[in-house]
Amino acid sequence: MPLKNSIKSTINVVSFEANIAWDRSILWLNIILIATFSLFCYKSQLYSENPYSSDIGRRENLYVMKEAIGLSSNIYVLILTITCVLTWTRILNRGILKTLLSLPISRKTFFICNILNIFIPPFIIFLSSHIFAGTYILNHISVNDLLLLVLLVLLQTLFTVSIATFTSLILKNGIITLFLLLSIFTLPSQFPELKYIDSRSFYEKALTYMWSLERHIPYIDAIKFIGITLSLMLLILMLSYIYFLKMDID
Amino acid sequence: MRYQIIGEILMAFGIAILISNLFRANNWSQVYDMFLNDPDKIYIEGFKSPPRNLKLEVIVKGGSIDLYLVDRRGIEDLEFSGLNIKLKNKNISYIKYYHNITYLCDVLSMERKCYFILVKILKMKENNVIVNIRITLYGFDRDLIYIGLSLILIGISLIIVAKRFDKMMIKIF
Repeated sequence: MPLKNSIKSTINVVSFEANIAWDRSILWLNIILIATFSLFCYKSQLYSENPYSSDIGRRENLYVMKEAIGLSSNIYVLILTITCVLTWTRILNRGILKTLLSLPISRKTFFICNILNIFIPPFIIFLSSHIFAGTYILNHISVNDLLLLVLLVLLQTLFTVSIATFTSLILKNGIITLFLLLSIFTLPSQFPELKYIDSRSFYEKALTYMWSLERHIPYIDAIKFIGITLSLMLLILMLSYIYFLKMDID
Repeated sequence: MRYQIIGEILMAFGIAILISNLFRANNWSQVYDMFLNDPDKIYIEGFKSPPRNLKLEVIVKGGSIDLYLVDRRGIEDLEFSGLNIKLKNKNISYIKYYHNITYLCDVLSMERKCYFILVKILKMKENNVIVNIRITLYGFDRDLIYIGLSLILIGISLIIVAKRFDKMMIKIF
């Protein structure tokens, strides 16, 4: 019974926050920008087909899909960051948080609901665009390949959301946070040592390994990418959560 | 209210598909060069095509050829023994067949599926027959336009139905 109540209250809070954060114009802009750019990355061209083996065709399609996901992830990360920063700063600066916490909602529930509310719509839009492109435009993509893709996109999305959440909570100012985050996400192009925060490199390595696109791949590199992203994401989310619990909202 | 949101989301996806299709519609060319020397052998090139218009240009030097455009069904009529490909029987289920060509320029309307170009030497004037095939894609992906428009129409219908239904409910209660 308490579990049922807590699930019910979580759903209620998520839907309430979704009404605040995702007004029509933001949702429309998200769908049109993310889906357009994701589909645009699949070139309308001839893809070579081998009459002897369909496995070569599958591998080539996965390679095309990997390139498209890597390329479109740049704009996805950008939109996700903007959405996340706007949502957190709006809640913090307009007194919505104070009003909500005066209701019987714990900070823990609020934090979890807000994270879910921020990442679920862009995640679904990005993933459904690529699944549509993979299954319809390219085909040959199997369910296993897509399941691995779901996990990797989820990890990368949560990683971006965690960094954006932490920075928004610390700085509490929308414009400064946006500039800081955008400079953080463009750093890897200048400093190759920071490649672990670059979404394109992440998909490049992780998908090559997960989909076995190359025969002799340095799998330690891929594992490193996934491991570092996962541990950083967990660490930053934990820090954000602890900071949010102790934060003064007055 | 829920139907209205679903309708709006479908409409936005439809618009996104149409816009992306607009950007993807630039002309695209590919050239295949073939050096043929065995008149008994079939030479093959495979590709997966989007449903756009395709301009096929073939230039043959040192002889003339027969060219078949086939899909997966046509491949079943071939006999593969290693790299040697031969016809199982004289008939082959083709989509297009061009007989005795030295130059060809044709425009085809493609579907989204795999196609194979089969080339067989008919006459040899020199030791090698050089075949140059240039394929140019132009126009929009037709199926994506239909999908985009259908999503927009379904979205609009859902929005109208939801608004009507809301008004009806207000009148009833």
